[in-house]
Amino acid sequence: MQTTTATTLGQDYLTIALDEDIFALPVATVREVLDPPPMTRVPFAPAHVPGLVNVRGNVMPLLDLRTRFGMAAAEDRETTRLIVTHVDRPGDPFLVGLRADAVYEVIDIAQGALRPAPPGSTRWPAALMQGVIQRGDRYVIVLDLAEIVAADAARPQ
Amino acid sequence: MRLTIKTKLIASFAVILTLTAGSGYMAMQSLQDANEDFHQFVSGPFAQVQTSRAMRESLTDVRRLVNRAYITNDLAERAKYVEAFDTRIAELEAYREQLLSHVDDASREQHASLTADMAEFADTARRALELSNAADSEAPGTVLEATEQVFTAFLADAARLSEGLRNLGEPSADSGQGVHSAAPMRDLVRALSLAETVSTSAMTARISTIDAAARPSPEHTRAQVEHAEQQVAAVEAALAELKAIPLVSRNFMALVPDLNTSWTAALAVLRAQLDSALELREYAALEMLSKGLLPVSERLDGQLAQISNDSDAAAAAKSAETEASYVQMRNKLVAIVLAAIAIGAAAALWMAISISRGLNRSVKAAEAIGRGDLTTELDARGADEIGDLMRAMKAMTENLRRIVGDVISSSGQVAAGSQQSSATAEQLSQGSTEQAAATEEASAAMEQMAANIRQNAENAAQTEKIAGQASLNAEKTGKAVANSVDAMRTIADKIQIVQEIARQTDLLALNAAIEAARAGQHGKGFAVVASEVRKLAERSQLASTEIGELSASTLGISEEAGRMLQDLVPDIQRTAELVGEISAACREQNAGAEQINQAIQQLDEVTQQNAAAANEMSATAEQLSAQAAMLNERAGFFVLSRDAAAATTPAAARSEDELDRQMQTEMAGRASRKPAAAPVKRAAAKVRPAQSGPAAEGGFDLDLGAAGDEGGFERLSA
Repeated sequence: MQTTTATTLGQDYLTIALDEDIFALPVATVREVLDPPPMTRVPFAPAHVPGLVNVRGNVMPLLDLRTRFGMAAAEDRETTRLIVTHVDRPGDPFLVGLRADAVYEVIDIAQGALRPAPPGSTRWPAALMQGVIQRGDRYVIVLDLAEIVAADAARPQ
Repeated sequence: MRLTIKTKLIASFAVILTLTAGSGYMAMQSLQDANEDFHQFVSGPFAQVQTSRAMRESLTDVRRLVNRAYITNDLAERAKYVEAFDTRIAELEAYREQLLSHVDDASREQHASLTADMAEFADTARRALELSNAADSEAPGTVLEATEQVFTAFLADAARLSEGLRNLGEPSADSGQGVHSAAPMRDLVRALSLAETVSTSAMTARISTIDAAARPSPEHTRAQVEHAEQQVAAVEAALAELKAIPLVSRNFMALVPDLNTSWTAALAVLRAQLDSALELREYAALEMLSKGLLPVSERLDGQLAQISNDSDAAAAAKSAETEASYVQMRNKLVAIVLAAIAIGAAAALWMAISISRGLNRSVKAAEAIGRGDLTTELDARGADEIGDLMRAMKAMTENLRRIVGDVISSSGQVAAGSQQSSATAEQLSQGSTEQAAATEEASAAMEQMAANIRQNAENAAQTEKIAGQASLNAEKTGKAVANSVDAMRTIADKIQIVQEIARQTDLLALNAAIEAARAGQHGKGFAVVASEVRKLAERSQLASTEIGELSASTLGISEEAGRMLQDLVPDIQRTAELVGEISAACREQNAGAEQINQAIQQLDEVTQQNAAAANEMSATAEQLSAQAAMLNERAGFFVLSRDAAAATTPAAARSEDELDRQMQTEMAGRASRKPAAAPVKRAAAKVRPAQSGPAAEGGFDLDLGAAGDEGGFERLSA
C-alpha cells in the first residue's frame, strides 16, 4: 500500500488497472467508484460502449476501457469497478461510467513528474494518454479522459 | 432229465387220453365215411339199377305197343296206342336223363352210345308204328269183301250166258227151233266152253288176288299177281272170242255188253286190290318190326343190362370196400384200446411201485433219526419227488450230524470259556477299583478347572458391558463431530459476510479519499481518515480471509475426523459383539465343565458297579460251566458214528483241551486289541441276575446284543 504525501504541490490521480498495466485518471473528473451495477445493452452500440447503466437515478453510458484500448473483452471479476466520471465538455458536460479491472488508490503527483511518453515505448495509442509517471520501479500511464471520450465522438465505430 | 411223479402222471394220463381221443375220433370218422358211402350207394348204383330196369320195361312196352298196333285194324285202338307210345318214349327219355345224370364224367363217354341208341330206337319205333298203322292185318278178308259184289255180278252174268247157251243147245218144244246143224252145234259148244273159261278164270284171278294179300312175301305176292294177270288175260281172250262167235252175238245181243260192263267193273276192283297187294305194306311193317326195331331194341336192352350189371358190380365193389374199411377200422380201434389199457396199467404199476418203495425207505430213515441214530447213510436215488424227499432226508441227517457235533464241541468250548471268564472277571474287579481312584482325582482337577472357567466367564461378561458402552460412546462422538462440522460451515458463511463488509468499507474509504482529493487542501485531513479507514478495512479483510481459510481447513479436518469415526463405530460394535460371544462361550464352557464333573461322578459310580458285576460274572461263569456239561450229556443222545459211539468221552476231553488253548489265545488277543469290549461284558453281567431264574431250569440265553446302557457311555465319552 502506497502512502499518500500531501505535502507536495501537485495534482491527485486515481490509479486503476487493466490486466497488469496501471493507469491513472485525474481525481477531479472522478465522481464515484462503484461495484458494477446491472447494464442495459443498447442495440447497434459500438463494442466499447455496450450499453447504459443506472447509477442512483442518473442514466449514463458505460465505456469499457479494455475494449477501448483494444484488449479482449472480459467478464466482471471481484475487483472490477465502475468509475463514474464527469466529462467537462464545453457546453455539453455529461457523466460516463468507465469499467476498469481494478481501482487502487488516490495518489498525489508532484508537478513535473508527468512526462510525455517516449515514442514507441508503449503499445497503447498515444493519443489517449497525457503522459507517463514513474512510480517506484513501474510506470503509470495517465489517461486523457477527454480524448478517450472525444475519440469516441470523433470516430464512432 | 428229471422225471417227477407229476411229470409221470401227466405223461401217462396224456398218453391214455390221447389214445382214447384218437380212437373216438377215428370211430367218428369211420361212421361218417360209412354214412357217406351209404348215401353214395343209394344215389349211385342202386338208382342206376332201378332206372335201367324201368327203362327195360318201358322198352318192352314200346315194342308190345308197336306189335299191337300192327295186329289190330281198329283206328280208335291204334290212336290209343300212338298216345301210349308217345308217353312211353317220353318216359324213356326221362329215364335216360336220370340214368345219365348219375353217371360220372369218366363213364359219360361210354354212355354216349346209349344216347345214340336211344335216339335210333325212338326213331325206328316211330317208323315201325307208322308202318304198322298203315298195314292191314286182315288184307285177304278185305280183298274178299271188296271183290265180292262185282264178281258176283259178273259171275251171275256169265252164268246167265251159260244158261242161255245150254238152253239153245237142247231141243225145245215150245220154240221148235234149235240147233240141229253141225256148225252151229260146234259154235255152241265153243261158246259154252268159253263161258265156262270166263267164269273159272275170273274166279281163279280173284283167288290169286286174295292169296297175294294173304301171305306178305314179295315172291309169293308177285307170283300170285302174275297168275291173276294170266287169268285176267285168259278172261279177256275168252270174252273177245265169245263176242266173235256169231251165234252168241246173234242170240245174246243184250247179254254180251252186260257181261263186258260187269267185267270191266270187276277188273277195276281187282286191279286196285292187286296194286294194293303189290305195295307190300304189311311186309314192310313186318320187316321193320323184325329187322329194324328188334336189333335196335335188343342192343339197347343189352346196353341197359350192361349198365345194370355194371352198377351191380360197382355196388358189390363198394360193399366189399366198405367191409374192408370196417374191418381195418375195427382192428385199429381194438389195437388202440388195447394199447391204452396196456400203457395205463404199466404206468400205474410203475408209479405205485416206485412211490411205495421210496416212501418205505424214507419212513425207515425217519424212524432211525427219531431213535437218535444219525449213522444211517441214505441211498438217495431217483429223479422224482421221492428222490427229492430222500435227498432232503439225507441232507437233514447230515446237517443234524454236523449240528450235533457242533453242539457237543460248542458245549465243551462254553465250559472252558466260562472258566476263563471267571478269571477275567476277577481281573476286571481289580481294575475297576483302580479306575475308581483315578476317577476321583480327575473329579478334583475338574472342579478346579470349572472354578477358573467361571472366573473367565465373569470377566468376559464385564468386558462385554464395557465394550457395549464404548460402542454407544463412539456413536455419540460421531454425532458430535457431525455437529461441529455443521458449525464450521456456519462460521465459513459468516466470515464471507465479514469479508463483504470489509470490501464495502474499502470501497467507501476509496470514495472518501476521492472526495477528499477533490476537496483539495480542505480535504487533506479527511483524506488521512479515509486512508486510515481504508487500511483498517484492508486489515479486516485480510484477517477475515485468513479466518475463512482456517475454518475451511478445519472443516476439511472435521469431516475427515467424522468419516474416520463413522468407520470406527462398526469396528467398535463388532468388538462388542465378539466380546459378547466370548462371554457366551465362557458360560457354555462353564456348563460343559459342570457336566463333565457330573459325568466323572457317574463314571465313578459305574466303576464301582463294574467291580460288583465282575464278581457276579465270576459266579455266573461257573454256572455256565455246569450247564455246558449238561448240554454235552444231552447231545450224547445222538449217535454220530458207530466207531465214535464208544469213544465219546476221550474225544470230548481232547477237544476241550484244544478249546482251552484256543480260548486263551483269543482272550489275550481281545484284551490287547479291544479294550472297548469291557462295556459289553459289563452289560452282559448286568443282565445276568434277572435271568438266573430261568437258567436254573435247564436253559438260558445271553443277550450280548443289548445296547441300552452303552448309549450312556458313548454320550459321556463324547
